[in-house]
Amino acid sequence: MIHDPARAAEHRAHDLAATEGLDLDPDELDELIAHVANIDVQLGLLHSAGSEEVLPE
Amino acid sequence: MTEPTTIEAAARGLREKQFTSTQLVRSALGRIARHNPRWGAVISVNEEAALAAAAVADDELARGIDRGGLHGIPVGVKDVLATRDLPTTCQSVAMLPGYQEYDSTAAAHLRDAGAVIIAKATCSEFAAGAPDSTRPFPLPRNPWGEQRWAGGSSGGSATGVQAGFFLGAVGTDTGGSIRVPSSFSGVTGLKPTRDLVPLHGCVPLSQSHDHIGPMGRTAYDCALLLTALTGGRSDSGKPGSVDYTAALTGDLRGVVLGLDKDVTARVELDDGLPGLFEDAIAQLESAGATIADVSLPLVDEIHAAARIVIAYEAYRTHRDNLRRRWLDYGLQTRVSLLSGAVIADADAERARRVLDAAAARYADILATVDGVVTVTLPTVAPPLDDVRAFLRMKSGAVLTSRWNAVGMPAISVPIGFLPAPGAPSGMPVAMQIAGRPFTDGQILRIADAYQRRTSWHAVPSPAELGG
Repeated sequence: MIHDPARAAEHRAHDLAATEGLDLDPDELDELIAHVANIDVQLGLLHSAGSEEVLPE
Repeated sequence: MTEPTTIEAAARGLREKQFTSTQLVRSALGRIARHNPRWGAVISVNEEAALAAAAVADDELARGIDRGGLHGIPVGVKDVLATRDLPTTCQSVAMLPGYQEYDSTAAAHLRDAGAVIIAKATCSEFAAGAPDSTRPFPLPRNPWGEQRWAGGSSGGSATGVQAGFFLGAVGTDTGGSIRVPSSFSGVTGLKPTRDLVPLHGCVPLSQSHDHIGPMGRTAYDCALLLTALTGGRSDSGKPGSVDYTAALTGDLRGVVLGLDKDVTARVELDDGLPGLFEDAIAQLESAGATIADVSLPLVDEIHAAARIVIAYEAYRTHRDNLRRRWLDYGLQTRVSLLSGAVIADADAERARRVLDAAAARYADILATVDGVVTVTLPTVAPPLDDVRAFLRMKSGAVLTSRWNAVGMPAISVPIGFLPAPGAPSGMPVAMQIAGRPFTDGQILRIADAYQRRTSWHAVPSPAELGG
């Protein structure tokens, strides 16, 4: 399991490109990693105590 | 002819026979022809269709047929809304099929109200991307400083209003795309209650967060546009049967406004903005409003859940097109859209549940006040070469996007100017007023009352003065 968030985002971005059959250039890949890292941050918040608190039982 | 700068003044002038709709439309088309190459607010015009519509409007007025405040008024429509006589491109070479040669419901409602659609306004690619000068489309420039961003994604709508290319415009707003360019460009823009303006014929970014709304120089003009855009929404279903200008009395006695100090305190504001915001609150009090403290919770959680839902839905809208036409999209747009693929169905569903629950919490809190006031954005418009830094700044959209997420109306109103390099007149800043669902009339009333006591919305921009 990858615990480094940056490496995890990079790993997910590579997986995504492979799944979609895309041969991304370095600019595209850097940008995709940044977007995936940002989404990972949002997903972390989605599963945070604050979000848990608002959800109905 | 003295060119009116508001729909309200133009409507009055038409009825006093100071000018005709044909003259208004010719004047606007002339400004577009002369000045759009500099300001980049318009992507397409159809002069023949616009002049024909203006002639019909003039003929009807001469025969005593009056469709109301938009009759004969030149308006612009963001290039993500289908229009029967102008192409729809979303500023993309990879345009999705199914949006040509018919009117979106919003455009049809404008025409029913007598408006003359003279132009499609520029925007970010698919209402999603950052400004991209490498693409073969005009780039909307800020009307107060052309090396600065007009705001996105409805930037052309805002700049076009300021430049006098049209007197009012229609934009779309998924996380702030009406209110951000309104704040940056010094116009007034309303994101209405979710689904108040029908989305049929609007190229989606995120179906659950997309809103169509009016942009103009004043809240009164926005009320006129909203009256048309909603098509009435009354039992009779007749266009214009609900008149959003009716409540604009200038009197705020009995109105309680909440100040959301928690959220304002967590964003870093440009120097001078806190003082302008305090002045704006004082004006609202002078109109009769009572100010109370409110605290709206879950700011980060709502922002996160909204971004997850938007990214999830946007990817699925574009998935097939991305696979076929990857390189036809701009780099920022295609990568941003693709990133939504990493969001699992279960996470999107959880995000939707969080937003539903948050909307219920907000409704309870807003039951105690008639509106909530914050600044619209913490900064003035960034330079065009620094837009990506702004977009990465979390506080950039946190104040606007939550109102999309909970489906409640929110309006941006200019409250002054701050000094900025490259902008000799300064750059505009704005406040945002939001309220419970279907209190759009009340929100417009508060904004209108403020504008009756101030003149920030009427200050002519370099785009209006110099063309």
